[in-house]
Amino acid sequence: MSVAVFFTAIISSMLINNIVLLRFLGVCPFLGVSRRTESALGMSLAVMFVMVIASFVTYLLYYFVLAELGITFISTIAFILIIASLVQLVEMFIKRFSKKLYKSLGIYLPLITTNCAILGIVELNIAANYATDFGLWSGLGVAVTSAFGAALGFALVMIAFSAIRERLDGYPLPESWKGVPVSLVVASIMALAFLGLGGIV
Amino acid sequence: MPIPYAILVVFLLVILYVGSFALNRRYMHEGDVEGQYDMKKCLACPISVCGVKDRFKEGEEA
Repeated sequence: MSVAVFFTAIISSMLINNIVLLRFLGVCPFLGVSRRTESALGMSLAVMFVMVIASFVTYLLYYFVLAELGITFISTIAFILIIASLVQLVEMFIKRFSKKLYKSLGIYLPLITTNCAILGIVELNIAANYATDFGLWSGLGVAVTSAFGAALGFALVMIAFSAIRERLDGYPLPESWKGVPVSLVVASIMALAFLGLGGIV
Repeated sequence: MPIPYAILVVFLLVILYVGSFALNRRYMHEGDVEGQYDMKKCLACPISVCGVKDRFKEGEEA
């Protein structure tokens, strides 16, 4: 399998099928933790960690346990429990090593459990049937690469959006436009810009 | 019948989650427990790995 497959997987999930702006998953932290670039970066790293590890673990769980035992119908419950466990570990890690980041992420950190972007990517990886197309082990590589690309895409829009929001705070906007309204307008313009990347791969 | 396997797998995953949750609760951030813990009682507690205890110890040393 060539490097082009992995490159395509990263570019595709990062830009062309951006998880936030084109699939509309993970919009809650996108709007909630994008006031400051520092928080957005911390959130993106936490989501990246959980997304990549969750993709790896759920892929193995799906093909080596659920499919073998013929119990793929519990995949969603199993994936949610895996993600929830990983989030607990991430929370513990951040609490230990960056108290400032722990405070700035606040409630959004445990809420990564319910971040539909993570469950969405995990489910999309299984639905994409990489194991059939590339073989079981190569499929695992593509699935994890794709998840990493999606996480990079999430980080890209989070950081860009937070930088724009920080600058917007200084502009003399009409009262009715301040806060969420102007943020949603910015998000829609960003989504249109990302739509223009469709077809590059 | 795959149903018993399904129950077993879900049970094991729940155990995994509860374990990670318990581990996380043991390591508390001082903001989580502000005003809830007495320093003397905390330092007398037998749990050795605890963020609150670490914080109290750091405060004592300083």
